[in-house]
Amino acid sequence: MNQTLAQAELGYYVDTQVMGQRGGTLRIFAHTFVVEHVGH
Amino acid sequence: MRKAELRERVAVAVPAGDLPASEPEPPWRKSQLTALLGLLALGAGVPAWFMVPRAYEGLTLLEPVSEHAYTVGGRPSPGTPLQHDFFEQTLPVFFIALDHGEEPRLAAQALDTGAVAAELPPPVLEAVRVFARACTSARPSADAALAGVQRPP
Repeated sequence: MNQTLAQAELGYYVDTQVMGQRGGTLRIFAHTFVVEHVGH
Repeated sequence: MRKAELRERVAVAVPAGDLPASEPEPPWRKSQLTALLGLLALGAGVPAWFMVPRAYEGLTLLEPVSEHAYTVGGRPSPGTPLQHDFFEQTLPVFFIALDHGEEPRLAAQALDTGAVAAELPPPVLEAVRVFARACTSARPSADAALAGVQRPP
């Protein structure tokens, strides 16, 4: 998704992580970032 | 001479018209009053400066949008307000629904509806659909190392 966002020149970045817990449940941690600058 | 007579003679000797109407106020009173009012205004203005809500300054200092930000650098487009709402509201709601163990297909359906309403570019819309499909059709991995953390089917 992030690759297509960049190809579409849209300033968003989605970071998702799925983490397993000892009890067997899965937790989803996700952030949506607004990209304000690319480059130096 | 008695006091009453003395008062009468003095009153006659000095006509009322010759007396000044009233003594002018000392100039220091006006300046003190002005200083006091100034201090009060300053005292009220400084806290008000911190209490009045203002927009985050960084938001007003954004550089202009670059049409090719990902190739030449700069600030990429934030898209339309609908697209902004999709990434600010719809997509996080989808993740929260998955995290809370809600029905993935219903969450994916709401995500798809939001993506269509946001009028995302076709490649992005397709990527969102593929991503949602992957989330809803996930199967337990055959990896034995994950057996302890995966939810039973």
